[in-house]
Amino acid sequence: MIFRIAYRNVKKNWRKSYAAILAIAVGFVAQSLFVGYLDNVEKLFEAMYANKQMYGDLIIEDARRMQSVGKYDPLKYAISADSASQISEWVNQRPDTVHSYVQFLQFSGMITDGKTQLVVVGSGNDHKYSQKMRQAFAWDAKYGTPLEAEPKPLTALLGVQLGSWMGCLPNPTVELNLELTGYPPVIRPFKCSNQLLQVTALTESGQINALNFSIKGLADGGIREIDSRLLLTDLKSIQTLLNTNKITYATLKWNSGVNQHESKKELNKLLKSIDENLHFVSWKEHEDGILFAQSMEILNVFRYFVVIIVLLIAGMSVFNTSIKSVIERVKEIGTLLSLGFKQIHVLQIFLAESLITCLIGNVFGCLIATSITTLLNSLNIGYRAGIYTEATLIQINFIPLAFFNAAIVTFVVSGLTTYFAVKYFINKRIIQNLNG
Amino acid sequence: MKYYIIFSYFIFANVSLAQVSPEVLLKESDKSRGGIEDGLSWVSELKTRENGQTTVRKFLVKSKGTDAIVEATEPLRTKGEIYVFNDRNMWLVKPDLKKPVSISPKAKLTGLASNGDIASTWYSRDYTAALEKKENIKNESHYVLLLKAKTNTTTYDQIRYWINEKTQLATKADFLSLQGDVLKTAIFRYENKIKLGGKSIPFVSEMYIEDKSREDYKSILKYIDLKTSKYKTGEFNINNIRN
Amino acid sequence: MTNTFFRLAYRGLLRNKKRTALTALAFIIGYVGLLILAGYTYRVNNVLLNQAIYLNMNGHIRIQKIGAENYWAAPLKYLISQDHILAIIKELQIFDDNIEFVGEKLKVASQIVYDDKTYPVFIDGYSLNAEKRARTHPKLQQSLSGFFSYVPTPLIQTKVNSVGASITPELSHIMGIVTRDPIAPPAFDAQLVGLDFESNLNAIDIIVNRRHLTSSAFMRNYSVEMDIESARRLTNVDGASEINIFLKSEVNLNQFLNNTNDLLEKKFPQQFKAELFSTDEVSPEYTGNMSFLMVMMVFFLIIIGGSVILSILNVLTMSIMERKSEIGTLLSLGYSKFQVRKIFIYESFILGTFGIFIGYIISLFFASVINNLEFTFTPPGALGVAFIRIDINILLGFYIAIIMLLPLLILSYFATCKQTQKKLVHLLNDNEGGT
Repeated sequence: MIFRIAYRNVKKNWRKSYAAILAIAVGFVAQSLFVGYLDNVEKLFEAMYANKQMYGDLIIEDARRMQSVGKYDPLKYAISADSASQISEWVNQRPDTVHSYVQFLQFSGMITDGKTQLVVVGSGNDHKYSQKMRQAFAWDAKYGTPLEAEPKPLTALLGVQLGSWMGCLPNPTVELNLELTGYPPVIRPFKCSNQLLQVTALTESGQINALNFSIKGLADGGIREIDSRLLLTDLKSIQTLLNTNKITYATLKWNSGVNQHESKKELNKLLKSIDENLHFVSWKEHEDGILFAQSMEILNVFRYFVVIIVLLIAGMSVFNTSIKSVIERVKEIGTLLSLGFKQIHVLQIFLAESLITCLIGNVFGCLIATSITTLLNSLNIGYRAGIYTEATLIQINFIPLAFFNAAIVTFVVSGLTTYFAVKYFINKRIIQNLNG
Repeated sequence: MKYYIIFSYFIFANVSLAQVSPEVLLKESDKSRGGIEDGLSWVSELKTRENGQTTVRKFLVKSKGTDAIVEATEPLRTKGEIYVFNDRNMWLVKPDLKKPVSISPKAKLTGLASNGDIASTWYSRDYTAALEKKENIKNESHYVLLLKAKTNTTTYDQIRYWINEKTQLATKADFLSLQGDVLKTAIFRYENKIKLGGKSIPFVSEMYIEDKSREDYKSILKYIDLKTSKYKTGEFNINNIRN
Repeated sequence: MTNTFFRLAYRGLLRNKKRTALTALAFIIGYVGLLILAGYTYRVNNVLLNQAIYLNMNGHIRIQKIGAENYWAAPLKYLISQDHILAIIKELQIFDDNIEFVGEKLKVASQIVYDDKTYPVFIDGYSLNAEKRARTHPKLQQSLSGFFSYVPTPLIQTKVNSVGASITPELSHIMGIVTRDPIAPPAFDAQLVGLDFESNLNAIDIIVNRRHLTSSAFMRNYSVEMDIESARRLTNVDGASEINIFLKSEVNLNQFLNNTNDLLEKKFPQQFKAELFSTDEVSPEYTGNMSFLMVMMVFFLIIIGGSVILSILNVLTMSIMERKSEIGTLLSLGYSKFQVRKIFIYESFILGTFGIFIGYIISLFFASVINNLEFTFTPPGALGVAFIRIDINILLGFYIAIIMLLPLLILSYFATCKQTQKKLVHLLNDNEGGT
């Protein structure tokens, strides 16, 4: 009955409820849009690390690699071929657990087109699972084709800036943005003035070695300083160049739904049995992922700050409306109390009204948020997100959970404000209420 | 009879080829480039053409065995610079440096002193030799040796080496990558003479070096005013040079 | 007459004190929220800007040879010769009133040798005078002070006419020199070896007696700073990669840039170009980070500002609907529709202004609290750990006030339009059927 009274009241006084509905809708929209935007940014950064740069879930390496000794002489603290093969074997025996596993060998050297000689850094990775790990970023060539497309040895991707210095230029230049969907998987042409570029490096023992690479494409190096020095190729080519069969590190991604805790325990046991210096770490905790952690830290501060402000404002508005509504219906409250309704029942009626109003507000909010999300996403507005070379699009993720959370929060805020608004008046004596 | 002679020729020729020792060929050819225990000195003129610019530098070179001291004399601003080679270690000594600076293999990668390894004299110490084939260059028969590094500490893993069959002098060297691609080529000329063990032997007078990865990079190293010299023990020690 | 409207508006607000208070509170919360966020953005902008200009020695304007984006491919080709440097500085004398000082920078790729270790480095050689002035510049010191625990210092003199070099703590670590305090060195002797610009091997001695931080994640392992004369000795040149102009505060940057480019084109046709520090080419960290922050600020403005304005409009609409008979009375007394609307607009104005005034004071208080609490975080691409700092000033408060007040007033006008269009009799009867 209380609910019926409340529903009837809302229906009768819909114009007066309009303000509260609007306030709730605005609070809902603000929350869900901002959370959706931040979620997109977070997911994009995460995808760039986990997928595009193939960090997966874990980095497996010699723990000394990131210490000063390892940074000075990376090959000395690389994973031996034997160790790498044992880890590969373990992975291959677990197709249900491991989604993808990629091995990397990093290097630095000199690249020349016959006229210009420049420093080059980069890596070679094995191609068995690389595209699988990259997922949406499987097509990682901004121009040309990915290495895995018709794979051949001694082919490479260059950073766009390095490519331009080496005489490899886009034809024509295309503006592409950092997006969760990666690059469209079509060939964007480029042209090199030299078919082959020579890469020279020191082998593990310090001998000079060189290989000629044909350039298959141009890739985005992420940040400017890397883009002007980047070369990506297959693992075997770099192992040949450095005359080694070691790998610098490997990355691994679990299948979804896997009991990661158990799997990690197993993996840890394996690594320690191979070499006590081997370990794995999530890329988010690794030095290579530090930029991500720092970015998320500041975004989370913004997230909580804005949500609190918005909820306070919406709460004020609802409180205002509730007070007005209660004041106007003081006589009604008095009548109800005099008819034998208890204070708790009156409170319940108003809370029920608030609930219904909130529900309607959330529905409107949901519709508005969805419309704004769709509109903004379709506008493809680009902006520079920090130090990355490519622009990012302002995109808002549609997160049902965020909508649900926003609804819950608005319900709570609305309920609390209504409670406090009503409590004051129902504490008055009946006669005071009846006299208005 | 005719066939007998031809047949004999082939047998004789193959026997001759089989009897040629690549190691001996290599050792002997080293002598004409400075691979001797006795001390030598000469003036080197290095003319380098890069990016359309030509630079000329002169050095006074003292060499004994696996050690060498290369002292810059021209242009004037380089006077006082000394490069010291002790076995496979390389140092740079300058008047305004408190101590010699070690030139690491990493430095050689960027082109720093990469010519130094090519001008190095003692291939027979660092490489094993195998006879690949014979080849005619300018109507002269050459043994083509493939030199493989004995250890993996040499700068170049392999060298393809042409030795004139008649003169037993190396005329050309291709410095190869581990995969056998040519990184640099050096061509030698021998118009100098030195007295060794009472005999007068030809000695290298010019080395032409080409960097195969860079079409605009060429060097010519000339050997002038060659002398045999006696050096004291420790004269090539880096600590003594510094002091 | 205006006084009357204000009085009527003021009285209208006081009619329902609770509602007015709550509405004002909503406005204050929104204003405080936006001002705090703007204060943070303002402070970060200040830090990044001064970092880009003074700490990174870019100056406000950078002059390079045209095509110098290919510098690393052919350093000698894009080197500005000493003659040209002198000629350009001489020509720039006509702008002396605007220029605080001028510096030169020489960028070199080399290797550092210490003990038995050799490691590749990228050297920035700075003209000493400019480096000292920039690193001790009050603007830089002020902006960094309290924001980062790191305080930049100029290159440290070793003896008369000689300064030491500086490396990053990360590079120090790689070379095997570890200290408890990553910023305070032990000084050590090292050497730099590299090819001079004529591809001859060369080396110089250095004393590393300072550590510095760099905002570039890549350069942390490779950055060396030293005086330009030492860099010139290493490369055997007397030129510079770029000339950096540091301007006085009051100079209009864009105008100065245009004037400089005109001058360069006139005196040195097709040879040199001048760029602002705030471009991707000169300071990608600055432009990238600020771009991101600006997008966030726009988001905040729309979300928070929108919430506040809608909230107030709600209340205003409620108030208007309650006061239809009052509106009718005023119209019947001869007030024009516009004048009646003005009363409600003035109500919004009074509410907003009051909210701004109180909100500004509260913002100052909150900013002070936050600043004193010294929350730390590590922003991406930053000089180590930073403190969350809020910088609020009158001008910022004014801008936020305008951003919130103007739409409020405009929307208030339109909100009242509907009611004042109704027929008088409906207003006086408070008849809903008139809509």
